[in-house]
Amino acid sequence: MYSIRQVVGSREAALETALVLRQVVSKARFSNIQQLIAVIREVGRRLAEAQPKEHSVGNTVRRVLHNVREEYNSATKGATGASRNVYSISKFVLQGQPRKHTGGAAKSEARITLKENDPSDPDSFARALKPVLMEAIQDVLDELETVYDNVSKNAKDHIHSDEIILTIGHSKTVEAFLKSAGHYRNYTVIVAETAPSYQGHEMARSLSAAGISTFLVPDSSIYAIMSRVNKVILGAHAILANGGLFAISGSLLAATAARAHSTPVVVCAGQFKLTPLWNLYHEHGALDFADPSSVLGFDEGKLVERVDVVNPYYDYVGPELVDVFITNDGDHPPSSVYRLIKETYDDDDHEL
Amino acid sequence: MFELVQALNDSAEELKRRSPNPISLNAGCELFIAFVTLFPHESDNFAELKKELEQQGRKYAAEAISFRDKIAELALGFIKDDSVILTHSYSRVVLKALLHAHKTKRISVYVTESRPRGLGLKTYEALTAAGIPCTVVLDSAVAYVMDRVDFVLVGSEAVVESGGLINYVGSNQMAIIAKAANKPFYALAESYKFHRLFPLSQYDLPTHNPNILSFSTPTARSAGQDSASTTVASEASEKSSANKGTSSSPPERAMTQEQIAKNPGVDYTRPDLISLVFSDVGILTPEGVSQYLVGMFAG
Amino acid sequence: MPPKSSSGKDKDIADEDEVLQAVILADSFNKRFKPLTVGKPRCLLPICNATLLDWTFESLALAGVQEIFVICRSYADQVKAAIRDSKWSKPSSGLKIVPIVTAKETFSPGDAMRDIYTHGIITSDFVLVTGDLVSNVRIDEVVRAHKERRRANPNALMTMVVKEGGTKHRTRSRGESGVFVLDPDTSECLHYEPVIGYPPTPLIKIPREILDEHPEVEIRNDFIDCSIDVCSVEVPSLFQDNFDYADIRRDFVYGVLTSDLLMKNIYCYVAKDGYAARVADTRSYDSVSKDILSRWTFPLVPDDNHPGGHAYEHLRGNKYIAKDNSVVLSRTCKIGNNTLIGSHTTIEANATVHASVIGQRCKIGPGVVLRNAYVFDDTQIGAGCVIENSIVGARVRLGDRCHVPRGCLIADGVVIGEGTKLRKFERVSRKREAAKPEQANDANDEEAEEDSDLEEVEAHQEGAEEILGEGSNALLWPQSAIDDEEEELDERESFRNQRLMRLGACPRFAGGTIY
Repeated sequence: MYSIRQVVGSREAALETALVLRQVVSKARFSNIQQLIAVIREVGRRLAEAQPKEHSVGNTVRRVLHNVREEYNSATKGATGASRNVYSISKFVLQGQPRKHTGGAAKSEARITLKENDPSDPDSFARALKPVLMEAIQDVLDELETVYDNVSKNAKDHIHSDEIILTIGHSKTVEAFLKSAGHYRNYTVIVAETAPSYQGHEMARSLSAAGISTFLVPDSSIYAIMSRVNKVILGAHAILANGGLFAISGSLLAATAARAHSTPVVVCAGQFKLTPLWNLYHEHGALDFADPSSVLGFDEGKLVERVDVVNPYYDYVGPELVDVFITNDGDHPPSSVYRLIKETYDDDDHEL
Repeated sequence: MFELVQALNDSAEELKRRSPNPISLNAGCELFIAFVTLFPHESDNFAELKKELEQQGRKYAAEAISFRDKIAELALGFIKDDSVILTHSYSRVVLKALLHAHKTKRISVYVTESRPRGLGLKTYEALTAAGIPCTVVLDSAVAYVMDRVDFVLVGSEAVVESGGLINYVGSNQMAIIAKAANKPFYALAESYKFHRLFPLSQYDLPTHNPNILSFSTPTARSAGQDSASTTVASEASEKSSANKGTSSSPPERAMTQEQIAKNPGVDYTRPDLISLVFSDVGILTPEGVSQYLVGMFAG
Repeated sequence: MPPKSSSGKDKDIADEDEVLQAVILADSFNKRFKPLTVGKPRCLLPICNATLLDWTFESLALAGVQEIFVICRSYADQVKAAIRDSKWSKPSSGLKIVPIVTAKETFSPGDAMRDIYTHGIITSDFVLVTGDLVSNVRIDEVVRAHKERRRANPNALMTMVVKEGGTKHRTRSRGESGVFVLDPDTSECLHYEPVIGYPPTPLIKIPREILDEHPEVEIRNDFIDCSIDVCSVEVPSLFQDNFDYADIRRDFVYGVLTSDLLMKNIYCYVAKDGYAARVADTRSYDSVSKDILSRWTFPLVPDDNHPGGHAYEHLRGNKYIAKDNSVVLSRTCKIGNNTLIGSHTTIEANATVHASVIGQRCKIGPGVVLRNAYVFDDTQIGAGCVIENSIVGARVRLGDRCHVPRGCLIADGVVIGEGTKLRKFERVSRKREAAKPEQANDANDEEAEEDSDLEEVEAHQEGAEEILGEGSNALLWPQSAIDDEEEELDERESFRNQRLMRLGACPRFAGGTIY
């Protein structure tokens, strides 16, 4: 179980979560699917609570739950035809036409015989299902391992020669993306220094070390240089169901300036950042306010007493300011994020 | 089986004819008919199937009562403490959501008068009785009030396939103003209000008829002249009548029944003006609504 | 995630397998919080609705400490119970906490250190903190720096963590502080001289040899002493050898540095990033609360990693309201900035709450004004009360229209009648009769000590009735300690110095002026 902020970065947190869940599943004792789901959920909830603002933890839990259910359903397909009988109008509204569901291929030959709630051997269910489940979680892990590569595999199609790209903050995904494009193209990156954390310095250093021509500019000049920029590339902390995103503070400034100049805004992020939440951007606290010390030194004794310093870590960038999301699973417009989330997670897991 | 569907269609028609405002009714009927046609049945004889369908219908009707509570609960997450809400006319689901929010949060509400039926006053009474500070605003004052408002919350007659909204007239202008002021515009709709309809403009609504917005030929002597001079003439006549009015008592200016009849009862709000639709199946973007509708009716 | 947490991923492998130990001196060895600490130890006082001890644990956990020894003396049972019931004792916390009860005759941190020595629990370099620490300093980095230094110089005995703060900083204690003489290159502490507020310390002496040996020295009077010390294994034994060492700074540090025989070095770590402060007196209680609310302690903030495990929603203007929708705010109440409101609390009409902390299940009556007030759990405040710059304990009942001005401390369970007007800096506790039955079972030395305190207080109750109003069960504590001279208190615990450390003490009295 990880303690406070000892795991850094969305992807690390997601990886860690998947590893913990794999361990939980491999050790858990369960005799039917409900028990297993309850176990995963419980652990997942605790993990998510340990880092309430790291959404990738919850997302990974949801993803694992989804995969587990899917494996279970494909393993028991046909055996549980009973669900057909309880078909009702509200289900009809929820799931649409019934035909869609029966259309799935029945892999009867690869089926494992599953006996739920077998009183004589309560572990038989777990024994039979575990290998498939481990595989399902391994899929999630593999996806996380390769996320940077997959996001940046098409980088050269997005960045053309002699383009000027603006980015802000130090997103690992964006860094990988830009470096990957650097192998094929000769282009220029302008990095905003991203006060007050100044992560932009780190980013600029890393990019120029990779041989990309890099400029570092203060945040305040973003608007002024926007007219020369061909594309704005942002990283994301979390992508919300409406197509908006949380990103390092300053991103909103860049996105709005880009809108004023009709410059395309591209967001690079792995799919584990898709967060099935809606109302986050209403919550002031969701911006994750950091300590004021990077804005105002604690040694400014007199001032500390009289001024309240606000230092938000994230910006909420609305869907109307984003042109495209580049994920490890293809490129999507903000309006289809909703559909992606529907496909990636199960509806009943939104609240863990 | 075919007969049954036919019968259902007929009775739906009948119902429609009798109701003054058939849109939401229509949505419900269509849902049931679609369900009947697609219901995967295993029963051999028709009587059994009929019984089964009847049961399902009743069950859904019973469930449907709880939908509003579910929507109210969903909406609660979006209502911040101390927020000011603008709503339109009277809607039971909006009322429920507001009353539910009132239990835990401090909210204040502006409600439009919503002429000509004045249903906003009904909302006003219900909210005031519950202790929610509420002010009625003129339909024409929506733009004036918008800056004071945190978000707009409206009910719906139906949500259509484009993700757009059909609601009591005035919703569209409210959504346009909300968009201009960058305020969220939320619609509440129970899932049985999802309607398989794809209006492209106001005049594609089933409630539209040629009488609405029609110009009557003025009976005055200016008949037959071109329209420009008509207005001048009518203005002139109005002026003269106003002059006359000041001498006696100021006349109460109100629309006549015939004038009201030429006005629409509902209007259509484009999906791009709607931030989110809260429904018992979840919180949806307008695109999400169309997905559900396609799921039910297409194919 | 914020880079604050850029943790010791790249830690030396050598460090990895060594368990980082910490010792918490959970006893304060003074009476500054009386009467709030009648019947419970100071480390269990809540600050921002979590006990000081929990904040300390959280701070240490953040710093990567794995094993903690809690040295407790007064009310050891309560401390033990608190540790047992806390989330830290769950197996998943990754933290091992061992409470150690010291003998009753432990009267100073020095005694406690000697006790640690006799227990023989320390196996490596360790972190020594007090049980009232709130910090987000990466102590593990200090430990690493300390260990590196030790490798080069085996005489490096201790590293003190200090923070630059300016002389007039709200979080800096005005009553007791120290002047540090540093070598700016090696940050070795060359000399330490304690400073007290009253009588004001007019001058300090720096040994000439220091100036001879070090061409450049820094004399700093602007450090906030965080009381985080990274000590080498032999520190407890040094205490054992020198029986007269009582205080860690005034005796131990001073002693080691001035000693000609020891030839040991003490270093300072001037923390650039991070926050650390002690709740050493009621005044710092106020300032640390404010620091927490204005997020200096990030990531230890009420809406994230709250040590008490509560969940708060962070609203614009650093208002924190319990997240479970159980707080009832009336429509007309005003909640000002820098405020924390615990769950199940009700705030009625026209009440004003500004820069205050309110516990759980409290009832704040209509028209109440709270300004810089700290209200603990389960307290009810009657209509029209005004409370300013004061601490109100748990389960207190204040009648209508009470006036609690600057600097008052109201202990747990006190009932005060209608219309009471307290004087400034009044201290109120519950009468002994009411408290007695609970303690009857295990009347030991500690309670006896407490009783003698209370007896003293009871002796000065003339006029209390009329001040406290009808139906009150309270005792007024004397405004000034008359018997200071008789008791063998050291200077910094004297009444006149103490008054500089009181909540609500006005800066213009800083020079020791008496009003």
